[in-house]
Amino acid sequence: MARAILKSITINWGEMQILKLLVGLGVFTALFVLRSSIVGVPGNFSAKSPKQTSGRIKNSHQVHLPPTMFSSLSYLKPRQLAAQILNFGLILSTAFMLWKGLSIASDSPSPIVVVLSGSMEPAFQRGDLLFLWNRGLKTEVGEIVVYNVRGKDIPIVHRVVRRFSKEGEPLQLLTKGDNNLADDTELYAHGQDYLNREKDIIGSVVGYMPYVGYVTILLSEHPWLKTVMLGLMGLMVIMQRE
Amino acid sequence: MHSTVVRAQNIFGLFTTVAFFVSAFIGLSVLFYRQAPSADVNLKNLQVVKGRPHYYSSKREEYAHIRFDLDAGEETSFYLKVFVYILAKWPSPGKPDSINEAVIWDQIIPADPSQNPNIAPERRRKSLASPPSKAERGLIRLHNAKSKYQITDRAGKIAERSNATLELGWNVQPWVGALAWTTHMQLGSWKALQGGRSKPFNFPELQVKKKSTGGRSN
Repeated sequence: MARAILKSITINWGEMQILKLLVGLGVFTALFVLRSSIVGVPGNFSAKSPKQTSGRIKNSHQVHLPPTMFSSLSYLKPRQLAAQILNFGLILSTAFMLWKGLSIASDSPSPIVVVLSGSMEPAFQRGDLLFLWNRGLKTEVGEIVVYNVRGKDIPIVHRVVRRFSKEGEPLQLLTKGDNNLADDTELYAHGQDYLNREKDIIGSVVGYMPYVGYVTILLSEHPWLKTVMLGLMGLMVIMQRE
Repeated sequence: MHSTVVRAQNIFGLFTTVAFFVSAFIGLSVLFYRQAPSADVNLKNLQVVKGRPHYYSSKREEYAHIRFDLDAGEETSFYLKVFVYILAKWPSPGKPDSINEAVIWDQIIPADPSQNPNIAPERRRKSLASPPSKAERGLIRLHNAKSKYQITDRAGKIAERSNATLELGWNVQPWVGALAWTTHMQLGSWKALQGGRSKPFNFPELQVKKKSTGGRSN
């Protein structure tokens, strides 16, 4: 019965994104309230902190330990430690909300993508960051679009070289990489000759930033770096006093 | 706490802030460069023949082979990568609302003028020593050039289609920031494109090879 009701509720993609954004906002607020119940509201926090720091400095003098990175961790009071972990959570939920907000604004499931291949050289190189926009489905010839091949989840960034428009129907597009000799017909799903603007394309490239995305390529090629980075980030936040 | 971590954080923070503002400035600066594009596109020769999309295909489609002249002098103070293309535009018969567009030729003009394929080699060598003129940076001159791509419509038919045009278009690839396309309107110091469109023409009827007619009559 419950399953039947759940099945009858259909949520479209945009509504799902807004829902996720709201969940992010909920998590953020919950963390914020929790944090202020521990250390007081941010205004009071700075007023309180001198007392706490002076106490810690006194402590370190007693045991004659230099206030290095690792020794300082053991002097953290559990209350402070909890506050720092909550800070980390706040940062993560903010990043999540930014991403979802951008996704809603641009109407694209991934508004920022990283170029992974050299098929669009010399325009785009491996590791370049591209900003997508997916509103207004009037894609013109010469625009660069990101599409997913049906049945596979590999996003491809290529230029539109053919466009067939028909009143009341989504555009039919053919794409080609600037650096490729042939067009993309061979890349499309079996039996598919053209891309459907509404179904296949996740956005049209409007902005460009070189090199920045190379970090994510490194992270995906060397997964251990992810652990190291996450650990470092966590440590950094916990160490941070302010 | 003035530890190494905090210092590293401060330095990284400063670096990202400076990098952000410098790239924002670079991204916006293109608007202040003067750009006055003008182009003549003329159809030279046109044939429609039967062919296959690729060697192993059994599908037979009609393809247009187009020869054209392009004389584009895009006076520009840009030193940017530009992707230039010519597209053929024709409506489906009886349906003026459904437009077919296909790129027939394209070329990449690199940011470095000494690599511009349209500047004669001897001048190219010279341009390394003396900076090229603004007209030369965006120079394209093609005479009786062959189309790079064979084009057809969704159903594989193109013969005897009427009211077609050839149009010049381009895409400016920035160092950082927003991508720009053909300027059809004036925008600050970017002038609108002068010309850049051929006279309307009709695709001819299918050219039948003697061999294939012989085969069919038997």
